[in-house]
Amino acid sequence: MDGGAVLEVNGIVKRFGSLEALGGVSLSLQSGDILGLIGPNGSGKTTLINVVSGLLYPDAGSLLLYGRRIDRLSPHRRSHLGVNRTFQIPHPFTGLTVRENIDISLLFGRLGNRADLDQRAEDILKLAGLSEFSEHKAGNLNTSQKKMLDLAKALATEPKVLLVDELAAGLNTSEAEAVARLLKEVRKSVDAMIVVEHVMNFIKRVTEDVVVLDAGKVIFSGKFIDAVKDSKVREVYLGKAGGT
Amino acid sequence: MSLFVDAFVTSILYAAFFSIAALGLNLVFGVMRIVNLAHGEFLVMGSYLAIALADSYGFNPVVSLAVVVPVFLAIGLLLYFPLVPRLQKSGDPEMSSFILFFGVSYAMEGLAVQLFGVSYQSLQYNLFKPIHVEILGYVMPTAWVVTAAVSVAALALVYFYLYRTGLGLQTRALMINRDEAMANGVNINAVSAIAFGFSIALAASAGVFSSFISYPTSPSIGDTFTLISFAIIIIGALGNPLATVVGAVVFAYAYGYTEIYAANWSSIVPFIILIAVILARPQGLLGRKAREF
Repeated sequence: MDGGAVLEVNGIVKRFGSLEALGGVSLSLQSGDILGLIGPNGSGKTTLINVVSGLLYPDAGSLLLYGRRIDRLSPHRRSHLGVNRTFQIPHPFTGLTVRENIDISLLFGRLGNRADLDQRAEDILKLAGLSEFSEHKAGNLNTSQKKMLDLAKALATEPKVLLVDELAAGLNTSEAEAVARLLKEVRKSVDAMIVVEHVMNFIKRVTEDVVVLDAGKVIFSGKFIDAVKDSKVREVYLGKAGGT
Repeated sequence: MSLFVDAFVTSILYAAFFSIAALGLNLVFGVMRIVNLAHGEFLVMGSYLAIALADSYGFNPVVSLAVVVPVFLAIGLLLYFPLVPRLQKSGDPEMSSFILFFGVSYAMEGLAVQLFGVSYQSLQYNLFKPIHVEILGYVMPTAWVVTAAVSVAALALVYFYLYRTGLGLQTRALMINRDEAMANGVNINAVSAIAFGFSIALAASAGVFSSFISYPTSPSIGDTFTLISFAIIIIGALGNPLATVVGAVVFAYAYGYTEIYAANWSSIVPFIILIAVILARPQGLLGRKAREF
């Protein structure tokens, strides 16, 4: 084991019945890394995020956070150790206000006084561009705002490793631009980040380092500019003929 | 006119009492998605403890609350860990909880028979002096007024807990989305255990006053309280603790008026209303907000 690794994913296997969604995925994140995780639909990207965050338990392999095994821990334990995530389809606490949603993450399982959270809540809402919606019910936000809130909630838990799942999906160009800018801000406050994305143009704005998954296996690991030239990656995205 | 107003005033008292009698059942369902069929038995046990404290030490029921609340809060916390987390891991926690708490209910009823016998027992109205008070020209037992006042105070405390504390915020988050709450660091077991403890303590607190305002205490009356509580939370909205108050008001007025005008129907009409609500609005009167508060 490399002593400097923030997160190590070693030979993760996840099966759903006879379907092998992840077939021995390994990757490693060092401090300061932003890793783009790309691949076509059904390649296992979200499954891997679910396994790392604890919503799914792997059938084989191990996960190490700063050298500590975390693959059998519950999601809230992992969250307390510093792993947090956003969801492809965000699920804010719809009946609560935007501020209350942030407060839950700031409380982070403690039974503290909400009044003490004011300054930090305001800072996070400002960063996410949600200050003016503070007292709105989260269920009334539009898709882009819900995604921002999801990211803001994850940030409020002060994660060391942040897993961002298809934040740009379903957003228009200017909204995706805003999200990319925000992610660059976010990288200052986390130790390492995995950004899952289907939209290739989005990923190159956020990071140069990518891992490409196909059918649950890593088919490429390296720089984005090399990935787009790689024959296996081109085959996966464009088909065997080389395509359009 | 007098009878009509009498029924109106009495129903307010019933509504306040039924609210705290049923509230805990809804809190547990909202947070844990399980049904505590032994809810009424905890109410009965609270009642027996209050009767024992009155017999042995002359405690009036308000003083007894200082003993009953912490004792049953502790019982709830202690029972949570061996029972509920295992249920949550089953394929269908709701159905499993029916079966498990059905067993708990009968075990508790048997225990009550062993400890207290099968005869009916009640607290004496003269634990309060004066025995009667006059409010707005109506003379009524002091015990009834105290029961209503304590019930309203308990509701206010539950509101404060749910809407003004960090713990309450996390409790509401858990009711809305369990996975998301876990991802945000909410300790499911800690928050649920406290809610379960509150639920049992609320039921027992209602039990302290139950022999004044509803039925005399006996081991077998727990089933009736579970049934009434269940009807109330379904009428209000299953999973929304504060909708319990709406369910309790509807149930109490149906009960209160039929008791005065057609006493033979007083145990039938409230349940006819329950059936009507289930058919017309299966999600309950406040059902749309069941998961959005």
